[in-house]
Amino acid sequence: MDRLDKVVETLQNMNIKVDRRRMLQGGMLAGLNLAVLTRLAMAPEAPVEAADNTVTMWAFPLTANDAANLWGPLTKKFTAQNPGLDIKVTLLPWDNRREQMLTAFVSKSTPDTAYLNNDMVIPWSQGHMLVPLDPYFPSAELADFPAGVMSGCHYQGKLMMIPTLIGPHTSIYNKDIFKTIGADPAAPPVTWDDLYKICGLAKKKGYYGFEYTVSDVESFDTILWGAGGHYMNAAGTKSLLDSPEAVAAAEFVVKMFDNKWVPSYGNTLQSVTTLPNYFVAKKEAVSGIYDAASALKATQQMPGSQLGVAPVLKNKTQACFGDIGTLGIFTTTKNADAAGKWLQFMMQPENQAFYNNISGFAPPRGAARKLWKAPTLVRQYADKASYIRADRDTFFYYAQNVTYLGPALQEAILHQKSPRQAMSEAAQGMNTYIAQVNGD
Amino acid sequence: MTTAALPTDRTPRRRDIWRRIGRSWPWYLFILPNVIGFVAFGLLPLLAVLALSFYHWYLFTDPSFIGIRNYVSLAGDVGFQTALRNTAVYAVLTVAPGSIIALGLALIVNQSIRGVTLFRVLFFIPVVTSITVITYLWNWIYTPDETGPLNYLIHLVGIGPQQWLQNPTLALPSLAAFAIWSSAGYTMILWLAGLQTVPMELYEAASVDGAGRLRRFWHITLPVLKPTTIFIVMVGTIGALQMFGPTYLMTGGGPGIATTSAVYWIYQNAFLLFQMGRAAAGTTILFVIILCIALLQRRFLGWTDELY
Repeated sequence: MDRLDKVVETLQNMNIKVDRRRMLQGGMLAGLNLAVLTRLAMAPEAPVEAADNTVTMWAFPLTANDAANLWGPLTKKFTAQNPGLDIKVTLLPWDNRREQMLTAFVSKSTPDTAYLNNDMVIPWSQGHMLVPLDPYFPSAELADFPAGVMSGCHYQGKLMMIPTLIGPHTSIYNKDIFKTIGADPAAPPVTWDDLYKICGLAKKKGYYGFEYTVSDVESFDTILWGAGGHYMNAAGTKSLLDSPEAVAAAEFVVKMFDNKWVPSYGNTLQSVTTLPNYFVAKKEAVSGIYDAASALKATQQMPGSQLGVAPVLKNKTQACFGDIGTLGIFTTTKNADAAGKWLQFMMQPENQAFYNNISGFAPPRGAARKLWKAPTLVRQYADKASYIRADRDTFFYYAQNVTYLGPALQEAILHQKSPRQAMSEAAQGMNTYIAQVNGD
Repeated sequence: MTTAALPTDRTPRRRDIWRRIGRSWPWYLFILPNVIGFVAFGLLPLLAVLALSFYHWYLFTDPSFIGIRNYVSLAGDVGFQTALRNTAVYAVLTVAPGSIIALGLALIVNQSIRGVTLFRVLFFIPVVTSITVITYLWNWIYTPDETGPLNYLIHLVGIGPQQWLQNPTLALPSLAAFAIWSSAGYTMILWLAGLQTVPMELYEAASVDGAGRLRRFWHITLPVLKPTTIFIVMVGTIGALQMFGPTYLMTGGGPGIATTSAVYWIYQNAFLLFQMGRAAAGTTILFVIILCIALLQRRFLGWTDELY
């Protein structure tokens, strides 16, 4: 009697209906399962080891159906122009995209290329995550991009990302509400004082004047920079959140909440997308600080309303956050040249124009701008591109600021701390963090 | 004089072990997939986290060994301590009240009444609904002005609108209420399974002896439900101490850091601040806390292996 018979006998003694044949069948099935699972576990993730003639890319949705509207036509055209090469675009959610890419990079499962934002340029270049793109783009071609935008895509003189879209952030305003509250619909607020005036008039008539959400750090950029402040010192080694300008920006925010000029739900760190939109509900005179796509969506949700694009808000200076969407190649790629060809294709004026016709943003390249077809509102947004700031504040620890700034602003709004005290603690938190990062 | 050979040489023992394994290899084969899964996805990551907690590792740079400095740093970190305190408060607010409410629901749907299946399904719906969907719903319920459904209800009894998620005092209890609602269906099913193991004869005998409903519940139902109670309290406590979703989706840890839980703090440090070593140290501390609480519960709730 062999071992298998012993097992069968033991199982039969345990009142389990089994015989030698069934055991063998079960064993074979289990073995097959194990083999399949092992094979699957060893199977490469598509982005990492796709065939050398396939370029993999991670993108994030810009329309309701990017696969059909955007990537389908572009990849088809690329494949026609480059026989033998194929593009596989995977669409992922916007939320936590940096974390997704970082963790994928650490586990060597990043795609060949991806949509990136330029605030990643310094840390990701320092982390040797990105392939320099200079060999793929001659300097004559790069001269067709705005210098300010391009400076935000370089690290130590090397081009690490190539811009594919730009989009300044500013407010839109409801001209109908302006008329109702007795304000001039042709004179949207430019300065903080103008905005205070509009807010006061709006409140008297039962409207909110403005919208501000603490979780939206990009809106705070306009306020902080408008106050003449910075997040970081020039070397990117010290937080300036405790500077008089930053405190003034916090006081501006607190004043908005104290006077109930903005909806109280804005005092939250939760994602803006889960909050009600009072501007669309026609309860606000001036919207939050939006990108063009959000503004366009709002206009579509408010048919019949007279809306206008407001200037970038200023106090001492006029500057705003701007989306600088770029493409980059990860160093984990095995298809750098093929990925480079794809990026060259995407930067061709007609392709960049097409991309931005669909995306709702503006093409950064001058030649593409001439071919670009966009609604008036989006063009009005694009006209504000010169106010986009891409410097030390967006390069150094930009995404980390909100971890300290958000709670500080909330505490100031709730009067648990004065704006000065709250911003001082936020700066202290950032400085401790910077020291920890540097191993001090 | 003869001297008995002492088992100092370990080779024969090892041989014995291998012989025994050789004899019963099919049994080891049966448990092998689970062991592989546990080692690959449980034990190794756990050990990796423990090892990582002794390193300074900003994700963009190479890790460097720093001994226990991460732990020393966390001992004085007000943010981490607040996160641990918030987590403890959240567990207190959710485990016992949530279990009692779910028991009440289970007692209701354990009746032989018309349409009881419908109620069971209704109570269970939040469990099978995406947390993102139900947080949207609750964000709406918690709308902080007079248009919010909850504020409308309290307005009917003369209370002004509350900022449920924006007020530091109300935010954590509001998240706890959301958690109780969303998990009540699952806990109810566990109670229901326990209730259906209570022998009817016991109730009949108690009724004959003149015991009322309350006494039957107290002296029959609750003792029989002891294994279920222990399971629900232990699993509920572990789940509450790992609280992340409500904070992430409803408050982002605010106002201030009033709803920052320990796991959310770990997430912030690992994936927003990229401080993997500190996050690993925080994870290890939380693991030890959860382990200690689970062991204490096991001891004081009277867990014995005979319960299962």
